[in-house]
Amino acid sequence: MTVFRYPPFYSYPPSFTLQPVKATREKQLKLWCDLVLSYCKHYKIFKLSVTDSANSSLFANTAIDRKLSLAAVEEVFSRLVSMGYGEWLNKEANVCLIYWRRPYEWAEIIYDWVERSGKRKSILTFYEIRFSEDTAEFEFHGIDPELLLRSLQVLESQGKCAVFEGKTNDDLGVKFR
Amino acid sequence: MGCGFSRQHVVKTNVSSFDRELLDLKIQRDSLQQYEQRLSDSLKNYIKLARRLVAENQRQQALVVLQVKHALQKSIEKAQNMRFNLEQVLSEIELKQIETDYVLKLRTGTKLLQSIQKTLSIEEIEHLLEETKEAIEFQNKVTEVLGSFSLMEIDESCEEELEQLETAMFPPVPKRLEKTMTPQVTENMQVKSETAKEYSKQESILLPS
Repeated sequence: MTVFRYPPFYSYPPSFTLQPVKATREKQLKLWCDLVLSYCKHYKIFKLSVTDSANSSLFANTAIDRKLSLAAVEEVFSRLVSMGYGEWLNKEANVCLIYWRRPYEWAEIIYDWVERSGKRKSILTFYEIRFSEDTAEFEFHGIDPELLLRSLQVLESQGKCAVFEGKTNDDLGVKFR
Repeated sequence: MGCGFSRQHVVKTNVSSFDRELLDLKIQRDSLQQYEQRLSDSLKNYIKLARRLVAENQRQQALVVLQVKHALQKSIEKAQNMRFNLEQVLSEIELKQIETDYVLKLRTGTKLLQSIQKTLSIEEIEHLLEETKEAIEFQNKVTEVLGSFSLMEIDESCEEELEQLETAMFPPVPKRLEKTMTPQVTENMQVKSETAKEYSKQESILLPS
């Protein structure tokens, strides 16, 4: 995998301190949100925890010895959620789904794959969609199960599939129309 | 938008208990695959460990590790076999599903075909064909008669038109004279035109011959 290229503001020390002036702060948060989205897209990350990511290179630039505070990271995540680019998965643990593609976009991609690969009318396990060799070259390979469920629920609301459990198993599967 | 429209017509995808059982089988296959993955991961670790022990010249321990490795390999093989069997069963089930669907569709297709055939009897078709043949023959006759007739018709009308053209293009001489004279002669117009009329009368009697 190619190395992620950070945007210029990442090497600029004041970026790592939340600015007091509202307009500047807005702009700054927007930059951080964009960075989180492109970073997650590049590394195919589907969810982030606030505490873990605050210590990762995403929010800490060791080259200039600067790091975004935990509160600031939380604010970035809240901003992502309020813009519809994220969803709190576990509020207590501060784990957040990152939508570099939104569920309805994933839904379209997945359904397109189902149609093209002739998998309509068949039953697929979540594991199969996430990890089988068939999906290896697709963006949704390795997708977070929660995000997959949300995306399939979009398709379900369109009547394109049904998500269900097994008889003796509570693992989820999906049947496409 | 179209989206809102289609949402009103959402048909729920039905999940039967058969589907649930099929899903169970597939989940079983997945867990076997995960098991294999787990075993082959630890296999890699044991191989690394064995190499390290050999490098450190700890032969006895290396032998133990290799024994474990062999046991692991056997388990992997067993798991693989189970998974292949399961895959085979699954693909057979799916094929049978398609087969039953196919037979069902074939049945309705045959029924449809029969119902279409019922509306048509052979005698009716023969009768229809006969009638069509007669109609075609009649039409051919009509065309023939019309063809021989139309030539004469055209001849007569042509002659008529020719006559009309001739009278139009070569009007009686006195009329022409009258035309050339009109600018000069203003008096006695009445008399002259009357004589011209007489002339034209004479000419029109003469012309047809």
